[in-house]
Amino acid sequence: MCSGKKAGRLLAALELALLASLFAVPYTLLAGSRGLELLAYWTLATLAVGLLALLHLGLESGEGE
Amino acid sequence: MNAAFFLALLLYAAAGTALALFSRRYFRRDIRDYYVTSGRLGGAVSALTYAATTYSAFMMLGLVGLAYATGAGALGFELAYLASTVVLLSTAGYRIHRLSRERGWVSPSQMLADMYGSRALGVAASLVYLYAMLPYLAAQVLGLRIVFGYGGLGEAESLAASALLVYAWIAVAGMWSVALTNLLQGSLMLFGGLAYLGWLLLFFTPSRGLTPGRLLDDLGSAGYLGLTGFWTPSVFLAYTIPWVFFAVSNPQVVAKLYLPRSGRAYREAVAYFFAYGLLYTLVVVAAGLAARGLAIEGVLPEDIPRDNVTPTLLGYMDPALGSVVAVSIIAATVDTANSIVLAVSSSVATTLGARSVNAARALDAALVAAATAIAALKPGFIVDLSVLTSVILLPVGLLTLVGAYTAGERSAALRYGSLASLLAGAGLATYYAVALGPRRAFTYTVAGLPVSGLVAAVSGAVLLASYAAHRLSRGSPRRP
Repeated sequence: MCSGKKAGRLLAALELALLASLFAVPYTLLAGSRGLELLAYWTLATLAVGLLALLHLGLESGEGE
Repeated sequence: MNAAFFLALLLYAAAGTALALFSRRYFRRDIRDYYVTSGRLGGAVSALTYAATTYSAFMMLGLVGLAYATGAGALGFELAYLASTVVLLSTAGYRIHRLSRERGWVSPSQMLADMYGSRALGVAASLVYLYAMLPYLAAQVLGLRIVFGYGGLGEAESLAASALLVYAWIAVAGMWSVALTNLLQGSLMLFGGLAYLGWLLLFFTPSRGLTPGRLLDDLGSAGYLGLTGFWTPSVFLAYTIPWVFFAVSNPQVVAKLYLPRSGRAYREAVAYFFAYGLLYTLVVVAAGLAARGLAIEGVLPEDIPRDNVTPTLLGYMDPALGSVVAVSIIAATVDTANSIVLAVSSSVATTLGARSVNAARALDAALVAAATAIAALKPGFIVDLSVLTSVILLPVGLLTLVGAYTAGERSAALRYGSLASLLAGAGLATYYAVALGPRRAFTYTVAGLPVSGLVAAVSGAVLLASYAAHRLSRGSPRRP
């Protein structure tokens, strides 16, 4: 139970960091990009957030049921 | 009237009506079943009704136009919504789903009143929903007029058809008929989007002697694949902040959290919704960027008004395909509108203590009539207010988010603080709407912060202060 909570917190921190990066990375590291980098970054980061969130939900609902 | 459009519309209306009538066999004829199916839906139906509700005609009209006009930033804005929504659904959303099963919630305002132990908060939330959502509902009806115009319908016929389409399927069996018709509408929206993009890249572009690769090169050279001048950091924040909280602020999607029949169905719903949302967003933004590439090549005008990009392209399509895409946009609007009607109606009904299904149907009819009247009379300020709907609702989002973790804790600090937080946030948004006009207020900044950020900060600060006072008065918080 305790390790499940820790894993949940870690996942939440990763999700929030990735969410923040959806704003931060395009305005810093990818500020001057003119190719597909920006589109690829946003798509892959969203995919990563979604997969982590689904993993998190599995953990939360596993504890709740 | 365009005969192909009329046929497609007729087929859509007939299939939807058949599904709505079929849904009656599941309907238990009590008010909780009418508004939220008593939480008896499976994962796939819950996912499609969530997707169909959250994605309105904004995608095929507004987002295509935004990508055409401002480039890749439109993708970042829309994916920020999707990513934050799936995070909220996996955390606070799941808690709300579980609590809704324990407490038997029927409406989002009832949920807030129960979370904070404040009937006044429930009443205030119902009023804020009415104030914020009626202009939004009217904007949906007005949006339908553009698409009906493609089919050759006049203004009065468009409004009548819109009102009828929005109300008819609600009245049959409430959320049951809405959820089942959303199966059709959600599928039609995705099919319409894919058909639109496929036609654009595989038929229209080659027919002008161009290739998708060349359009991509053009977009890169002109800077449309990067952040254009439109997307300053404050504009990006002004667009994304209200949407980041959409899943917990807008009553029509919060009510959808009550629908899945189990934790497993809820998990399936979130996974399917995420897959749907990612695909639909990529398809819609790709269509907008392709339209910009065609404009750079001189195939399309460079200065099409944003909301007219898709209607302009529909004019180039074969009437049969154009009619299918047009009907998919109607579906996107109708499914959003009827879920808004049910969510606002349920909030008013629970506040007034209405218990009969007929009273619920009468409230739904009154809401549709009010939105249609606004759409017909077009009072400028009220129509424009729809731009600020999600900003006005931001305080409700914060209350829902915090309430998901503190539900069951009771104190005067939480009761009064939650009400003050809602009134301060909604009041501030209204002040800027009146002082600057809703459209200007949306991107206006105060000390570098967009109005949406200011509303979230003020409302959040009041809520946090009341929670701190609650903890001081009670010691450490207890979980429900």
